[in-house]
Amino acid sequence: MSQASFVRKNEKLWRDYEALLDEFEKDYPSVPAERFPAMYRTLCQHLSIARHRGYSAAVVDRLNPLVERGHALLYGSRTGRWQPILEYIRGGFARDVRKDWPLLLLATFIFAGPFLGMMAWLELQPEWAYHVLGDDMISQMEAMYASSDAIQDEREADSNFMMFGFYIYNNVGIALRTFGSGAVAGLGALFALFYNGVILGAVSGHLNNVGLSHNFWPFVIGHGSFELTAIVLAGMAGLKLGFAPIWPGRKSRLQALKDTARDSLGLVTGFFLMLVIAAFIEGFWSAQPTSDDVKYIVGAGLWAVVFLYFGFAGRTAND
Amino acid sequence: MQQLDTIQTIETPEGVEFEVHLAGPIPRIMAFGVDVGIRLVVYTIMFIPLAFLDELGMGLFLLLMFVMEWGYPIYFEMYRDGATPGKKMFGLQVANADGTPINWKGSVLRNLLRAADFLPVGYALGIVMMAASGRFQRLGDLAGDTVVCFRQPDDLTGAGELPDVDPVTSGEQLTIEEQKAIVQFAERSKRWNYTRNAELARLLEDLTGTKDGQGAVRHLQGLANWITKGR
Repeated sequence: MSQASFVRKNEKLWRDYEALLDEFEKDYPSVPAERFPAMYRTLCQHLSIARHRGYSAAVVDRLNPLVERGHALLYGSRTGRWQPILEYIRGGFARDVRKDWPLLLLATFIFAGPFLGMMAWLELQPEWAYHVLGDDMISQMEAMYASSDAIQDEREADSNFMMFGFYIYNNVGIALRTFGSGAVAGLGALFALFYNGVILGAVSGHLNNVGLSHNFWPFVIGHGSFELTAIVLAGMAGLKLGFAPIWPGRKSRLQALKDTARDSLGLVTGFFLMLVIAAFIEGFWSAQPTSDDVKYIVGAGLWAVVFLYFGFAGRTAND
Repeated sequence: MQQLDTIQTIETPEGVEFEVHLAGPIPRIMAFGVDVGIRLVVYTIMFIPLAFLDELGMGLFLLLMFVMEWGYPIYFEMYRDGATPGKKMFGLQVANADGTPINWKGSVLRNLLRAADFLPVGYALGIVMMAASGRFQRLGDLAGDTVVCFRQPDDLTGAGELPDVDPVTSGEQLTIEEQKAIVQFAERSKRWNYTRNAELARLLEDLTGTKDGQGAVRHLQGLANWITKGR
């Protein structure tokens, strides 16, 4: 069959098929779909005939996108709804964290080690705070926690919201980068965990030394539960991603990276939500002018929630 | 062994292959530049009214920056045919490596891993990975199993029209490849100027048997008509 008669013979079918494509690519198609798969297979056949017989590029280039679009419609993934996310929050997240407990231990150690080490070191050598943090940051911190009033006076409703925006932009951004940059052999995540541990430990230690700890601890105890845990989990997810191509097990390195990346997205969703919660707590609760005792009690309660969730949520009979 | 080319062939479960034209670093860098520019313009425009709202406005502005920084590429990849405005400008599109439209997981991963591709500075690692990966995939693309390709032109009708010349038979046996080349030449000859057509056609003196450019062009167009319409 010559090219011209091939085109003539099938022109109508191609046009019908294209009209169907246009319809199904809308969000709410109004045409029943049962004719489509058969037509798509016919188009596939026509494309291979056109290639095999060496018909001109014009015919092949016309059929190629039609097959491509049909392929996309038939085999593209359906985007999910909210249900799986709620299920995940209810217990899947905790299960995922427990499943990789060696990595969780490692990430906790890399973060908490420098944190506690720095605090202990500043007990012995207070002037080291200036080496680690620099003068500017120290004067900023001292001003911020100079009195309990200083934290509360500046915090009207508007400024609460400003701080909330800042915590989202800054803290969530840092955590997402901690995960993403972990893809390079876990290095980015290792650095972020270590660096944050050192800085936070130095700030805590220094404020203890200069006698401002009674303003500092009540402020941080509440949101610290969600925030510090989420930082560690972001680091853990980053390490998981970075270690996958290094120790791929029985997969190719690339396949291990792909699979682990998809698996890690649950953890990313989890620590993302935790940091949003932490930003709410820090923005709208931590600086409230209540007594320190109330803050300690609420803070302890929040820490208990975090520990109980990761310890027990989503356990099944065989766990 | 495949030829070194930017065309990737994807085989469908029906056993047919279609082609995707992968995009290299240069158009992608330019598209990225456009996207950065668009974001800056949005920040500038939004900053002015929000500045009047003092601290509330500052909070809103920070939230906007967060959403723009992380959500902008994901939103456009998911809801605007896999192309940010910058990519659209350069005819680029993000797709899954198997040619299907990009999905949530792929989009989120390829954009989260920008943090890794950026290292140590200015997307250096991403560009090295593109060169090393064979399909121009940066680390984020490898993890998300995505590729960046050139969008198929939407309208190819009229490309298959041959100049109306009487069919000429060839004395020689032409292979399928040769026939294809002649037909493609004839189809495109309408879009080129006379000099260029003649220059190309004169290369085939053995086949057309003439040194005259115009005659050679007509002969090839006739051959093409014979190949496609009447054997």
